[in-house]
Amino acid sequence: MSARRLTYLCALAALTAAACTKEAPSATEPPDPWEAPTVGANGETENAPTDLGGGALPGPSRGVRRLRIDTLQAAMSKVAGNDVYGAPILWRVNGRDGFSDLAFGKALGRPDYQTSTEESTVSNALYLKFVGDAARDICMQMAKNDMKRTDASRALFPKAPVDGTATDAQVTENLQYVVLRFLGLRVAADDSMVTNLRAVYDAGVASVASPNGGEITAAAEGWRGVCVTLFESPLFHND
Amino acid sequence: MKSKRRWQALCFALLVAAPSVALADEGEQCFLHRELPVERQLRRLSIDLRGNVPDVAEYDAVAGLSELPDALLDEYLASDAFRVQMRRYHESLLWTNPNIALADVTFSLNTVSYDGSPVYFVPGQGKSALYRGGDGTHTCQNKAQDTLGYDPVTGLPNTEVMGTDGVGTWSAEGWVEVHPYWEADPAKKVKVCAFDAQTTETYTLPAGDPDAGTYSCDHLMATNKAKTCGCGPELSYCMPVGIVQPLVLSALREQVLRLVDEHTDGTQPYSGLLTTKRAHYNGPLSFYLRHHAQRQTLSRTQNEHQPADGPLPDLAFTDVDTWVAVEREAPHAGLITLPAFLLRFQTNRGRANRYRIAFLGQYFQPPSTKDTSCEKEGDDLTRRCVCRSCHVTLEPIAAYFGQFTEAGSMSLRDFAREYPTRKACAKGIGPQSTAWCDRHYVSVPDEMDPDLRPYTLKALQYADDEHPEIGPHFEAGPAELVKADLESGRFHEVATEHLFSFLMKREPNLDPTTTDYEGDALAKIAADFRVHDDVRQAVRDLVQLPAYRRMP
Repeated sequence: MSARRLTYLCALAALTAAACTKEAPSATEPPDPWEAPTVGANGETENAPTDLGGGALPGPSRGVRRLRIDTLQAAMSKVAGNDVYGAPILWRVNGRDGFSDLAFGKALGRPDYQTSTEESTVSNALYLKFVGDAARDICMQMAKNDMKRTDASRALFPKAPVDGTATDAQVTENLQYVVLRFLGLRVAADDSMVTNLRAVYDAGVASVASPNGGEITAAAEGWRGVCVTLFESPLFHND
Repeated sequence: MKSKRRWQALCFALLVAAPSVALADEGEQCFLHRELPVERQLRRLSIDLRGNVPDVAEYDAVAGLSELPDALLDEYLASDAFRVQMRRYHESLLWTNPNIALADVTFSLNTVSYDGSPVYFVPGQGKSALYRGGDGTHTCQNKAQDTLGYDPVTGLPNTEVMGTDGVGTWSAEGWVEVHPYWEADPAKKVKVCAFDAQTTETYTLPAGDPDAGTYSCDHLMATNKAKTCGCGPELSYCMPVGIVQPLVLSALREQVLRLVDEHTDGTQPYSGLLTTKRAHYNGPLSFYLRHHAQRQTLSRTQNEHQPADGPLPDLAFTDVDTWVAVEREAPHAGLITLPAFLLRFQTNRGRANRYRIAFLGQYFQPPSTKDTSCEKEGDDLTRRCVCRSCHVTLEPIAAYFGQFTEAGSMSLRDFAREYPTRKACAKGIGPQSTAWCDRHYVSVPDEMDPDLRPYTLKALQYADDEHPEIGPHFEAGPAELVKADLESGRFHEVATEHLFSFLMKREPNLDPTTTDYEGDALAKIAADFRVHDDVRQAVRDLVQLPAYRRMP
């Protein structure tokens, strides 16, 4: 597993831990602990931990919920908007929509009611990998198409120019815009989500030279990083 | 590139670990029971009812509101996107996506390439041997049949001797050009081997034959019976599988979904999903049932159209987008007697089990204790150890589906319940067929006279004094099963629970000893649901619960 993937999983854990720091009141006493065996396989007596080292089960609220594949496909495409020719921006894999059954739809878990009948609501490693692939592909398309548009009609950076002249206020305003567009959250300019995303943006801008001669500018690269971050955010997939 | 990804992930970790002011609360309560911002409420509602997220303009339209306006909910529930969501929801309940073979070698059409153009033929060896002699592996030759002509007496295509194989001499006819039923353009023609292209509709077995009489060429029992039988007018009796099968299977799936549409858009009661006699047919489905279903070999699914299925609409195969509703007769009952359900769950036990899961919320579980005082051997699963813990309940329910053949969707309503002997059973169809008898009937040894072995429909094998429910349930059909569950209110209770899970993405808390017990709220919604019988209203009631507006 790559360091990036580990970081991502850690981030997921951090979200759930940070979001619920108080114990929920319990109406009933906890059940009796599991009766652990006191004699090991080698016949020696040993003191096993009462919970076998597994710890308490997380409450049902910690369970990861996400969009179904159909709605994930529709949501990413809708957030991405259309390209400059009016066609929807899709996750492209060998010329196909990456979420279709001819590409990775079935691998992602879309049931066909023949070989698979239920869609898991748990985000597994495969789901995270494909969502990351989709996010990077779609965000690059969004950035490239936005580069060809005028400010107002842009999907990813309508509030801030990407020619290196954007002010802090414009960047902040655009961050608030994309958080609303991607996550449905209306956040204040000083919200920690905005400040953290600003760090993502700045790191993206700093990661490429300006001018770099590429299709997208350094600022657009910053917005592409923000885009990937928001698509990969648990808040995009979970309630 | 790697460094780019690292900064993205690191920053992302920072982003999600720090609680947002929009979502975090500094109070004593865990965030689990916290109201969602109105924009997130809108996002949740839009995903659940429309299958997509809102756009920025829609978020802006609810800015500053404390809760979503009723008009918005009405708009979502009336949208076409909600209809699609209801389709997906019911497919997840019923798994109705049949994937079965609809043809076999006796009436499928293969092609052989002559001069780069395809020539159609039926690949069945028995039929080929009947037409051309030899070992049955030969097709026609690359020559127009006009150059060979036809026999003036029999009307059969003339042939030329082609050679000798391991069985004997074989000869071959030429090809003719025919407009096939699957081509909408009447000017378009395909090449077909002349024997296979014959348009004769009936054949006659002469006096003296045990089955003397006239029969249709378009039936399984005509297989290899007459040299004059081919694929019929416009090749209607035969199937190019790659063209026809996907369209028919797709139509079978759509047939269920059209019924779902009618009973979830508010025009028809929701419970009608399980009671209506209506069914929809398009061109491919109607054509398949008129010409192909009765040709399927007995070892595959039996889907022959029966009088109980109502009149088939007169549609051309190419009428793919034309759907016509027809009224079926008893024992049909809503979507659980549509082919897509019957073919997805091919045994009566499987059908009963899925019915219990989807509409009664009941699952069979193996016993947790040792079974005693039971039969260790034997075919009767209601008595056999371990098996009986489920089958005592399952068998009487399965009997409700007995009037539909297993491994098929054919109604057995008009079939004789019993024949006194196997010979009489074979004569249940013409020309007589013991294979047909064995497909649908089973012998029941007479304990008084071992030589007397009456043949009874398989679903009635255990319909005796020791299993008094099976006979009445068989005759009552699925409609009676549904009726009992509608009258008890169980259907609407379970539908409410399933909708709750669909919307909340979790099971309801039905433990009355807990503080967040949700049983009372669900019971109220289910009771109302039973009265108004409108799934949209039930969804409206559920999304207006406080639980839907909070995290999670």
